[in-house]
Amino acid sequence: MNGSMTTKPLVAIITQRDSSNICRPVYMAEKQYEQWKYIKQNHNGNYYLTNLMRALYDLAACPGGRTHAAIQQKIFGPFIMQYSLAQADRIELIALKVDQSLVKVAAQTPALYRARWDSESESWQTQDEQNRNMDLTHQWKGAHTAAIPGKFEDKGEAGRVIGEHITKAYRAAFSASEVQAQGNHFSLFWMNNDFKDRAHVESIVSFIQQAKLKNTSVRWLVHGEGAGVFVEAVKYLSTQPQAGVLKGTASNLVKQSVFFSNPRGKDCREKQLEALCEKVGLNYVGTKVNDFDILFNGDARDKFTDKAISAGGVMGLSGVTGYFGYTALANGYDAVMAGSSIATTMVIGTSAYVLAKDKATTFGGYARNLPKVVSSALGKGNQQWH
Amino acid sequence: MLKRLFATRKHPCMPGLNTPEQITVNLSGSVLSLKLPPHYSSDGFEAHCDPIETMNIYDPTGYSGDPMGTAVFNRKRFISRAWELFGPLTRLRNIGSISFVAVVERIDSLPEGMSCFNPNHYEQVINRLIFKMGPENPTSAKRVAPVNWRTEVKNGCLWLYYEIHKAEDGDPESFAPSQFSSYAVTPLDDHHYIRLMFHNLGYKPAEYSNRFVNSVRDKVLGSVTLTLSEHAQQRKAEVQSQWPDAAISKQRQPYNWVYPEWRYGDTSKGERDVVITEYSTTPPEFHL
Repeated sequence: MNGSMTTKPLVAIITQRDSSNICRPVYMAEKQYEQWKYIKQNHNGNYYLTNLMRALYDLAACPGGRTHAAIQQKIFGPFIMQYSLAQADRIELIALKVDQSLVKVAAQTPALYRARWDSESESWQTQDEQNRNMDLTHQWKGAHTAAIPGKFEDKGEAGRVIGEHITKAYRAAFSASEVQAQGNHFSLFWMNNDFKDRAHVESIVSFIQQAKLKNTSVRWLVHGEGAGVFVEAVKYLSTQPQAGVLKGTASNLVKQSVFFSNPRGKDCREKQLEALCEKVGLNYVGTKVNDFDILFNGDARDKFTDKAISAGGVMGLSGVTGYFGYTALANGYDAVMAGSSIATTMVIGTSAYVLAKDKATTFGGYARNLPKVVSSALGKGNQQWH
Repeated sequence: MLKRLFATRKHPCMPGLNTPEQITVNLSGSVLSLKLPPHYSSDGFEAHCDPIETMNIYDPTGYSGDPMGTAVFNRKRFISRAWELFGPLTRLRNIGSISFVAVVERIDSLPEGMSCFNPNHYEQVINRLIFKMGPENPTSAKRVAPVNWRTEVKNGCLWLYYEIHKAEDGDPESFAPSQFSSYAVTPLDDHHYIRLMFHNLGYKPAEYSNRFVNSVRDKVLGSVTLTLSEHAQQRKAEVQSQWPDAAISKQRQPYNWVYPEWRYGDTSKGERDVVITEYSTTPPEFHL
């Protein structure tokens, strides 16, 4: 089977009329056309469908007449899209299927959840129910709130901790007591600590686009390793042609605000985040950096090195081998982190500490900071915003 | 630092555990004092609510709650902080956390003539609260309560301790066995009481985690003393003389609840966000 369906009547569903970016129109069997129409009209209520539709437009916009004999398949949550690239001049969509068994319903399955304020326990509780879209009509102070958490043991912990971050991050917009009210919730996109899965990037792109399509204000709280995934999503928006019905959803996102809480990952320095947001018109609110998170956070690392340099300069140290040793390590972190396991990082972290402790008497302020760094890196974090 | 280096899952490290702060709170003349480890956040966020030294529990400002059901509870927070637990150095991130919250809670719908100073009435009040946090909170994981119910009279005050656990969810990977809340409650007057909460997000194995978080709880609770105001003591004596034989259960088994049917409400039409459409186990009623 070569995937071609030339014997059956085909209709064009994506053509250059949709967007000048389209290189290869997409055809599908006439009898499935209703299905496609439904998706096009209703994708906004289900982020998997937005993912699916965007993938199809992206394929159509992909330059070059690459051909492939075998049937291709992409899966978005419970939806399966099968298509053929057998013809150089067009893409043939063979089937759109739903298979609910593809979606796991285990407690920690990556999905969109809600964290709801529970006034009896005075805490945010993550609900077990998986949602297909954010409830954008649920707003506090004029915007829906959505969070992309980094590493946590489970979604329950993520909801509870991130809820606290939200009230701190957006304190200019609302007070904790205004938000901590029975019935309030925020959207929580739980990735179950898998920050490498491209599907999560796709989902975040869909959330941003859906909010834009509905012209709704959203406050994002992006935390820790979740920042790396969010950055990928924003990069996609800033580089990919947003064809078809998603036109206009990749720029001028000024109604959506972002706060980064202790971002970790590639391209997650404060200036990079700010520049990236500006590129797609996202309203950059701020970044909270734990200054002592030098192992994972580039900004904290730079700041720390600056402090170290000034301390060394003022004191006119001669025996600065320890300091240079440290700088080398600090500069090496990006490289190390790229492929490191926690164990590797750990070894470097402690050796830097041992190194400094040895020189503690001569290094003064610089060395006195090191235990804080190690504390932060090894988990003994700071107790307030520095 | 050494503690951190040698921490294990069996003997985790909790920063500040051995350097607690002495905290004294005056709640309309009744004085609560306790030793509490300092707030701790790896992400650098400050505590939710620093201890409020003096609070007028009769000032309605600041109370909030959920108006659902046949009983209405409102509460005002006076301490809220978090602690983190660390295990072996192979993991930089914390392995668990405890969030501690202290509130004054007010029951608004207690029938006339009932008082929290009557131990039997007080048990009914807490039963109603437990129901609200169980079947009347159906969107969250199902709960088992009360667990490890016990009572203690300390400095003349009746303290009641219990836990609310998550029901077994059938997932062998679940963290639920190490995620539970412990409560300590004691009356302040006819309609007000103190509720101290320990929300534990523990780690595996649950046996180690639970043992450790319980030791933290017991350490804190061991330091707690409450001295009722003169007015409260007088009122308590009156209630005691009115019902000299009233008693509270010394031991309790968890309820065997059947959760209600519910749906998400349409908040734009003035509905609650969660609407219970049909109770199975019905809410407990108050009996004078």
